[in-house]
Amino acid sequence: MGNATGTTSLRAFLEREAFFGYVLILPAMVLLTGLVAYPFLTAINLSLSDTFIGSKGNFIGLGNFVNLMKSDIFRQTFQNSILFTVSAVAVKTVLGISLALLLNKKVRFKKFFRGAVLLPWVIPTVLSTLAWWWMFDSLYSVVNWTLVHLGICKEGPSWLSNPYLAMFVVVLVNIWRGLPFYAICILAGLVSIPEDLYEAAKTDGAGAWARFRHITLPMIRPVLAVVILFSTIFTLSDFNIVFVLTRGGPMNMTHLFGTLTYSVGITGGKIGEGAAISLFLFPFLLTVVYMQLRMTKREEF
Amino acid sequence: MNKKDPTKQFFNAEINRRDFLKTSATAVAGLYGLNYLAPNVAYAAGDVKFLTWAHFISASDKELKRQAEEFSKKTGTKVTIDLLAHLQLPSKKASEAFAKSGHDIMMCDTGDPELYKDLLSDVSDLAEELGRAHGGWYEFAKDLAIKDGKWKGIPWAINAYPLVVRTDLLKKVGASSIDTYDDLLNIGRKLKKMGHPVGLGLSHAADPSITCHCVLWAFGGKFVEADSKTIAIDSAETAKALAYMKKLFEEAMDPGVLSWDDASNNRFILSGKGSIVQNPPSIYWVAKVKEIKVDGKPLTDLLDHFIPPEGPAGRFHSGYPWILGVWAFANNIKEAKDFLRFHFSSENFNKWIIAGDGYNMPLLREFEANPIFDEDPKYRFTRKVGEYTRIQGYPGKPTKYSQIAGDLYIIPDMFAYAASGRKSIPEAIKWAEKELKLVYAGQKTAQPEKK
Repeated sequence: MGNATGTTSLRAFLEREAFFGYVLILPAMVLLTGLVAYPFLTAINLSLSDTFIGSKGNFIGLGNFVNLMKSDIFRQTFQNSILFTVSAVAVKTVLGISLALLLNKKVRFKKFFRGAVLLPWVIPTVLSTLAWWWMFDSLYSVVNWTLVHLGICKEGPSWLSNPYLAMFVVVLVNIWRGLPFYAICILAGLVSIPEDLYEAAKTDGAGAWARFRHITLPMIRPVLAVVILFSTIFTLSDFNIVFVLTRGGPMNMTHLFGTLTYSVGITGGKIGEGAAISLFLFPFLLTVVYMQLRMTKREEF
Repeated sequence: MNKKDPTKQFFNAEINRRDFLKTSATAVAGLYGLNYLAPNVAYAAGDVKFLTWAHFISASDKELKRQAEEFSKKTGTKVTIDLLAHLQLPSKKASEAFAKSGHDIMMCDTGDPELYKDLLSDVSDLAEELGRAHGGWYEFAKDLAIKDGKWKGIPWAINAYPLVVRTDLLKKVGASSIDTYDDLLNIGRKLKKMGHPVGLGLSHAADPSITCHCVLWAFGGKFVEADSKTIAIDSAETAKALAYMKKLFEEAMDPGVLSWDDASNNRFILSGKGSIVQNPPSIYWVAKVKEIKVDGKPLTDLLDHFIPPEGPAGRFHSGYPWILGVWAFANNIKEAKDFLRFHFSSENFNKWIIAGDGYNMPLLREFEANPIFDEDPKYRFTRKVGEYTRIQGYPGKPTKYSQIAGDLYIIPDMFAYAASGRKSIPEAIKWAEKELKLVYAGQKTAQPEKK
């Protein structure tokens, strides 16, 4: 119902919900365009050129991507990222579900434990990773000191100099940091499972493992799908942990896409190739997101 | 209005949309207007802003700031010195280059004059003047700063990389000095058995890059030809250098070197475990300032600096020369140059070298006579490193491609692969050759040189 006599039609037009609605979401749209869409499109543009920081580049099509496929360093990085993500996500899933099941039990100080479990997630990653770095440093390693004093070895291994041990440490720190995210999200899923399902199963004679397999797992599948999806994206694009612990070494054996992009694009100045490295994952991640969302949709109860 | 709007009921006031918009619009306009009322102090004409790295030896930065204050008092041009951790400088430079705004004077690394050559102003007049006044520049300094025939920056200083040696441990194995790489291997072998291994980093950091290049050149290897374009790493000399490093790693070095960062070799010596590293005098300075003791004796008495070792093909040294560039888009280019002239005057520059405690090695010949190199006998060798110094990319000139190769740590990785046994020596060379070719392939697709 618009205003009748005595008012201009301009004001009437401005106050129409259709128009005013768009005006209200304009700030959010501006932010999204400026801070998300523009950098993304710029990155795509850069990845198709041979730009160096500070000078104009030429369009070279898929030249950067072709060069990357030929580069051993990049192929190693790709391998590292897949290994890192798959192992970290797999362990986090198993441990996350276990931790969530534990947190769901009725114990004293339940609220304290649920809060304490969140600490690794909450502490700034760089700070906690620095502490881990000291623990595995070749000179001052607390871990080695413990191993030596327990008599397990004469002189502990040089953790961050051995390619396999370095990858192990990097994955370990990622698991330590990411576990709370899994535990709390899955706990939220567990809490919503109705008790009578379990009681019905118990009266039917189902053991603990059968209850877990046939009730718990299917019921938390949507939550699990979302958590795994987010965790894969976060883990694949991890930067802090690798940068602080090993900077991609030893011998490029722990380089991830993030750290390689920084080393090539920012320190080296070859920003066209850096953008190509960081965008390499985009089609892959898009597929992961699509598959996960499809899995979530399929759950009909 | 029959029904009372619930929002109005809640706020207990007759606020309607029109009034709200009116008041908020006026408020915003008012705040914006205030901006014009306050005097615009930020960019007074003639202020010079200088960005440099936070020096490991803080006394050097204090001296620089003192000179800035003195200059400000003398001429009325305010000079501000901003310090940033050296690892953060590349991204800061990149963002200033993209934004075309920021500081006036910027400390540049080896490859920056080439990388940012279109964005750095021409300082040929100042550079030639300083060269004439102070005994001439070293050739390698000129190579770094002159691009397309114009000086794109003033070479500032270089950090020396002598061998830092625990002389008491040397005595224990019956040696008195280290002159060649063979000496290093023989002495190192004995030292490792004593529990005090040698440490030359083989990782992704600045120090390993230097030491690996010195070894490569000392055995006659090189990664690019004098034309700065052809990759020349696949040679018998490179294989010899790799074989040497492999032996050194297995028989004389601490295995942790594969994961070292730039501070690791400092900690290695300061903890008392390490015997020999190759590093700028920052270890000695920290030992002096913090009065570190090892086995009850002051560490400064036990340390000494030796000139880098000699190999079959000669003695080589390298470092990271710093160059002071002035952005072409800076607001106060003339005042910036005036400050640089002031800083490079004999009196001020000598003071700065002394404050740097042997870390800041001059690139102008006159300053080699600086008394700091006589005061402390531990610096007697560092003044001579200039004549052996070559920049990464030798025998070619330093270019942006040699800089990228350095940033990707291809040479240290090659040495690390061979030394740790992860790749055989021929495989490691082939790997490095492939990666270098990919980096240098950019030369063909890059824009043709603007004349």
